[in-house]
Amino acid sequence: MLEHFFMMGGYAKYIWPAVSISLVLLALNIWWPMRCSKRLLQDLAAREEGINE
Amino acid sequence: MNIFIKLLSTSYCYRVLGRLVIPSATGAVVLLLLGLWGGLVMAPADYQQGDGFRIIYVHVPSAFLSMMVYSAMAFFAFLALVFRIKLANCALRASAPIGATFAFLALLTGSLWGKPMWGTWWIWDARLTSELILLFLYLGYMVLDNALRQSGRDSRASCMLVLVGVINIPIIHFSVIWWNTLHQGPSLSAFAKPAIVESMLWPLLVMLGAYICIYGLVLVIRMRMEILKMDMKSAWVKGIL
Repeated sequence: MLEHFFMMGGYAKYIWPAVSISLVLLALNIWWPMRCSKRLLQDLAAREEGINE
Repeated sequence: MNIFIKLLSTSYCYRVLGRLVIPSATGAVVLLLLGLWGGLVMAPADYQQGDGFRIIYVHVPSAFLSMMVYSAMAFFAFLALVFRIKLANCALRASAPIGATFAFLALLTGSLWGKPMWGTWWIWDARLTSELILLFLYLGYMVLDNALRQSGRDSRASCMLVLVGVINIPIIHFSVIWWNTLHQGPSLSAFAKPAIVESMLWPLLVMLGAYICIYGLVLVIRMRMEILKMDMKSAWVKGIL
């Protein structure tokens, strides 16, 4: 049953790469700006601390 | 009217966008899981394409969003160019990378669908070529906008590029009607009855919803970052650090 699902009627080598690449690229599109935002806030906070000192 | 005036304030907009992160992330995860389960497990195999048709559940939402995001960008470019709204420029810059990703995914998943069905990874078909031009428009906008920012110039030229490029959107949409293409005709229409059976249709609509939530989430995160970059010297930014 599970093997039948993963085989996708012989189209597995087309379907699974399409689904997995889509999910990975969309996840990267969410993760990357989140990381950049976090870094930007840290940089701004460090700069502000430097000015105050 | 008051809410629109408030939304033009960067500090207010930054706070409002912050409140949208959790709902859009939740919507994206729930709809994506439901859509994938519906499309890959529940939907029956197609009578002609067998299970190969299941690529539709990642291909069509990518293609639809690639056009929707570009149309939204044209609206933001118009606001930025005509009314000089700074937040419209932020939304424009925030939309481009995810729009380019959707266009790339539409081409890639289309290619993975085309090989078993048409016998080729790529053909210079009107739909495929116009979608490729859309990807180049996204990349062109990002390169031009980046160059303008680095040289300290305003973004009028990049806004103009987006506005001129919007002519490609109806060309992509109607290419399968105007020309004799290898690509199939539209399966979904706003006015006509869908050409897909209900058991195959609902996962597609759910996946469309998931992709719209993903666009919303990325737009919100990137816009907040653009607002911070733009207003980094203002008092309200110092207040949130």
